[in-house]
Amino acid sequence: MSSVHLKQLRMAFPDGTVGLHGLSLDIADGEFLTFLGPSGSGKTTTLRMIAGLEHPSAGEIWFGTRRVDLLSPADRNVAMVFQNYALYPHMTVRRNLEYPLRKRGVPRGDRASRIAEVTALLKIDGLLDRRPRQLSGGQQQRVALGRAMVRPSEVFLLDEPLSNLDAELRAHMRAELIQLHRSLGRTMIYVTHDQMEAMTMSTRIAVLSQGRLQQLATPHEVYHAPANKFVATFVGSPAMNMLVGRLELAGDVLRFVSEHLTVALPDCRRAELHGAPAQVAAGIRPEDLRLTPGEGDGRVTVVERAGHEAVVWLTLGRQRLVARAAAGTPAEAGTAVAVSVDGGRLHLFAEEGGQRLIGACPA
Amino acid sequence: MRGRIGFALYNLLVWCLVVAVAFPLLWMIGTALKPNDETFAIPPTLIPAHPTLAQFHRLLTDTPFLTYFTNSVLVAAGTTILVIVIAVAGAYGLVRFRFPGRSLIAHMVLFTYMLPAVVLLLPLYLIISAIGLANSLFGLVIAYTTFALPFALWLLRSFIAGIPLALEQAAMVDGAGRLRAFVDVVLPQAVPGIISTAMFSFILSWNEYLYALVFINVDERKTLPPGVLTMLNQNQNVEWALLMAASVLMSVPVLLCFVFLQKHLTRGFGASSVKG
Repeated sequence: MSSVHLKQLRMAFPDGTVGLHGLSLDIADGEFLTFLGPSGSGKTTTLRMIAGLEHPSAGEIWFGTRRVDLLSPADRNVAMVFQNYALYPHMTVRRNLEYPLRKRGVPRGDRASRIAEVTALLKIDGLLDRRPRQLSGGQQQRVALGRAMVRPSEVFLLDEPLSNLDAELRAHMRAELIQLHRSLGRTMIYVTHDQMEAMTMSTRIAVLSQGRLQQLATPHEVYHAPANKFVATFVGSPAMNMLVGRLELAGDVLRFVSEHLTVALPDCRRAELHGAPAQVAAGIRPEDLRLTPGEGDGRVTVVERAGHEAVVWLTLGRQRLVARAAAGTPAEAGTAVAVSVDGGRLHLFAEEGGQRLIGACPA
Repeated sequence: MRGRIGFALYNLLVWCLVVAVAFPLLWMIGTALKPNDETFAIPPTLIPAHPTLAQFHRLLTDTPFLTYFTNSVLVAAGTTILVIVIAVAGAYGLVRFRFPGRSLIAHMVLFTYMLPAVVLLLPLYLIISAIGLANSLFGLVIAYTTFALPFALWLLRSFIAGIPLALEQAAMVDGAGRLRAFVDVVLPQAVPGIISTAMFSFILSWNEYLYALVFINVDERKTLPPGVLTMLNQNQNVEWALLMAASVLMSVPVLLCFVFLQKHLTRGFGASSVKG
């Protein structure tokens, strides 16, 4: 087990495209860090560089006080779960689990006891003599986890391990992975494009886009204080509403003014906004948008009733908005609706560059 | 009712085809079992009236058939091993490593396969005799390798390309070096492809006539195809029964090959296009 330090990691591909522009971050010992981003953001490349399966064009990787970026994967002592599990098809489950132990020269007796321990923990002890193709997706997933857990390693790497499972099993495995991390106490680095996985499992999330680190923070911060427009709209479902407008001082009150919506900002934010550009983008989470059905400028287009809540899609002039409402909301498609928002819940971003100006007021 | 007639017709057609294809083989076996005087009997008999193993006895005791047979086995086995070793390594290299000229090499290799064997006969003979391998079995092995290798390389290339890269990488993360990962994970996955390639190389060198005829002039180093023919041409009239007995024995190794490896063969040819 150890901490992981990435120093100015850069990845340029032979065709000239740059996959990663100098990524630096420190992962604490025992942390569950998730790289979250859309495809092509560089998250998998980063993970594979940590594993030693790809070589950075520049930069360094350290495990604790040991520099590893020039070592082969075998010499780095990492464990990895691959997206398609990569179980050895010609070996039984037992041989699959044994393989990393044999390669490290673990004596026979110790191998058997390690395998017994891991299979009991993952509840796969009944599958030892089967071959991977005789297993269900969930079982294969467990064997892949087992193969990574069976020997002590400095870092535990997981590359979208849940993406091939159905929704129910995925939710189940999420909970199991959280438990597993707690009981193993190992440094885990997880790659996903699924924000739900990132939010629920991580101690910290590193949001990547186009090869650059957008934000490195706890799931709570990423959701409630997104660093820029990209993070704000990428994390959260339905996505955050984004309105373009201006900041105006009307008398003593600072206001955000857009075409159809004007929001007064509370006093607590005035100091932070000193010197802010006049052109801004305001982000509003769907749950912060208050709807008053019956009258107003807004027009409801679709209501998705999900049982415990309803998601209301509406238009305000040319602006499309989405709001989360109570399950019993009277809003119906085609009806008028008034839209308002508490100024304290507004996220403001610079229109140019998208950097966050202020987050929500401290409660 | 219509379904049953259709089924019967379908079966009849299939059996006609089977008989048409199998007839020469049956005729070969039948003739090999006939005594000399029955070979040209009128009306001809498909099943010998007086079956005898005399032709086989003569073949194995009075003729150099066994020497030719041994030579053929040596050449075919040697070619197969050489082709497999080079093709597996080459195909793996072409699939896994990015280097300039990679696809050019792959296509040039196929280009050599398109030349008719006759075109290469003289140049190859000159090269082989220049390095002192004329009249040697090893010279033949090298010549056969040159024309079995391109196809073998392509067959194995598509096969290895179908083996997920993640498997090897998993092995490397698990503590194996590249070579170890190749042996532990890639080779076992490639077995059906290797078997198909081996059969192809073996049969190709087993049946080859032209090169064997030109490259080898010493009787005790001849392989079966030219050997059997010279053996039979020494007499004024061709001894058909003896020739048929030789043909039967020549078919045995190929037949055994197919019987034991058939399962892998179909898997091999089919699997290269199906991703696991």
